[in-house]
Amino acid sequence: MADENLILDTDSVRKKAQDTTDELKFQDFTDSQLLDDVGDDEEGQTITFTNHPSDNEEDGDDTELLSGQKKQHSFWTFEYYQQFFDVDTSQVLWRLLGSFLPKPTTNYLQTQIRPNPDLYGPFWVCATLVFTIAISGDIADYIAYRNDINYPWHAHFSNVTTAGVVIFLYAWLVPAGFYAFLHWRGNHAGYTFLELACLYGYSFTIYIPISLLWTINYDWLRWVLVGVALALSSTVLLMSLWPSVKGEDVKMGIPAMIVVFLLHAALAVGFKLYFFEFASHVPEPTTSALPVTTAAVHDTSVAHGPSLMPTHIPPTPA
Amino acid sequence: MADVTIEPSQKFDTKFTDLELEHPVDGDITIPGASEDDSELSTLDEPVRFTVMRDLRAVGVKLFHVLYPKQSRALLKDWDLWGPLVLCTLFAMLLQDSSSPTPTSDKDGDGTKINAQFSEVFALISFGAIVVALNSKLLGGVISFFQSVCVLGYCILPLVISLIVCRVTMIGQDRISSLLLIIHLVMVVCAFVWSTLASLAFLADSQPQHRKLLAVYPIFLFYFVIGWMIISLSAGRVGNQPAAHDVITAATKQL
Repeated sequence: MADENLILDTDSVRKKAQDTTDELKFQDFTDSQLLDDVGDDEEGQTITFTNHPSDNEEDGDDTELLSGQKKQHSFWTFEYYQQFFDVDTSQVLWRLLGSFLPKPTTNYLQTQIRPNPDLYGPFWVCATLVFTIAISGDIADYIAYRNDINYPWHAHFSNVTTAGVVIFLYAWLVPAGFYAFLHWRGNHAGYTFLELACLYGYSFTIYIPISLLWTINYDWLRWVLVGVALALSSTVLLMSLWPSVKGEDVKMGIPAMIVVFLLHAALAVGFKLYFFEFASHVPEPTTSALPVTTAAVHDTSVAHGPSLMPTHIPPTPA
Repeated sequence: MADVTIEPSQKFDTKFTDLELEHPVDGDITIPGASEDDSELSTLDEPVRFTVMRDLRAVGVKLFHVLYPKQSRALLKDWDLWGPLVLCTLFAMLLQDSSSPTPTSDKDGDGTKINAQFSEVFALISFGAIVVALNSKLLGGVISFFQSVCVLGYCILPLVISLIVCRVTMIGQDRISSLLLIIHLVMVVCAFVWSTLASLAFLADSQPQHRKLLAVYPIFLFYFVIGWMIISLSAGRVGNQPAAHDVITAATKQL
């Protein structure tokens, strides 16, 4: 910690001795010596030690000591958690945008998330995604079956619980798993668990508008949207994670990236298949169903084969 | 009384000790003439009616403030959680839809469940309010956690009113027309906007300027989800389809 940004200025040491004798005298501030001190390295030697380790904690500690504003709070105080919410609106908006717009030259993690990873973005993106997916799933259900008279639609609250569990588990366990993997391999790039969780949380951003678009009732469109979301989100994710495994031998680095991508893909495909899959419920032609029901209600003597009835009528209790 | 040695050199001290000896310190600590502030004791003496009415009046004042939102410190200072509790319970009860059972082909596979159970709705609202209040506190808000929960709970009132109106207009009808659904939708959207603006009137100033949107967005999400629950209740009854029990009767008549 002490070897960072250490600047030895031998000029100022000489100057201090002279200052004390000059204290009581009227000082002529057009003195060239004062102007020299501003930026001129001719008279003194300026030795600058800069050592930038990529470990985030050291940087954080240094800035805290230098700025004197932040303190290390204990795990049990409220202030400890406040440090994870120390972001401004503009920062959050930039991070959201950057999470699905891959820029080839910059690393999303380096530029946007460091040195201040936050938990506000990941938590609220995940919460929004839970409700968006659940609500869009119900709306898509409604639209898909609006012409099917034998399907009384109702909102499924179980969507919310399922989506919530899956999304929050993914957003915490996968970064934990990746961090454990990095830790096992020595963690040369110095990624902290908080940064990984932050990265994964923000990577869900693209799924929010995609889930709203998933309500459109064309199955091929849904799959196209899955592909688009997966491409954008995993590009940023993989580009950000790549520096941490770059130093590995190829045997471990590439499979790690592949596993990350597969997990992300499994999540996207899982969303589509669980919440937006209506292929198995192709509605029966309504013209044949309508006379069946009306006739059955009004004329009990008409007998129809069970094949004409939709298959989801519960059997009568025996 | 404690032993005091009288030092002739310290005249100031001597005066005090003399006074102490003349007037030993005992008796009441109350200042004569100040009002009796021990209201805890006095509520034992008053009729229960007064106590209950005082609390009811406090709740009523806050509800009125929600309906006509003006920046008012009174609401924030005397927070209470009665209003949120009553509103939350009322909301969860009104969302129960006992019109007809669903066929078992539903995703749930459960033949009798419609919409959300009481416990689910209640848990969602209370937990949601707690999380949103916690969020605004973590972002550096100046009002206390319970004040935020109080405001969020009270500002559900417009949505509860819209739910009551929706239910009243659906009384006795198993199926509602699409027009009525559109009217319900407009009403719920208005109630949602009203709720959000009311809570913003109380909570917006408590956040630092550069984080206002960060604190406002969760409130927006919270009321949006509540509004969705109301509208999904109405949408479940829209009918160009026969009621579910007609379908079941038809099926039973086949077999």
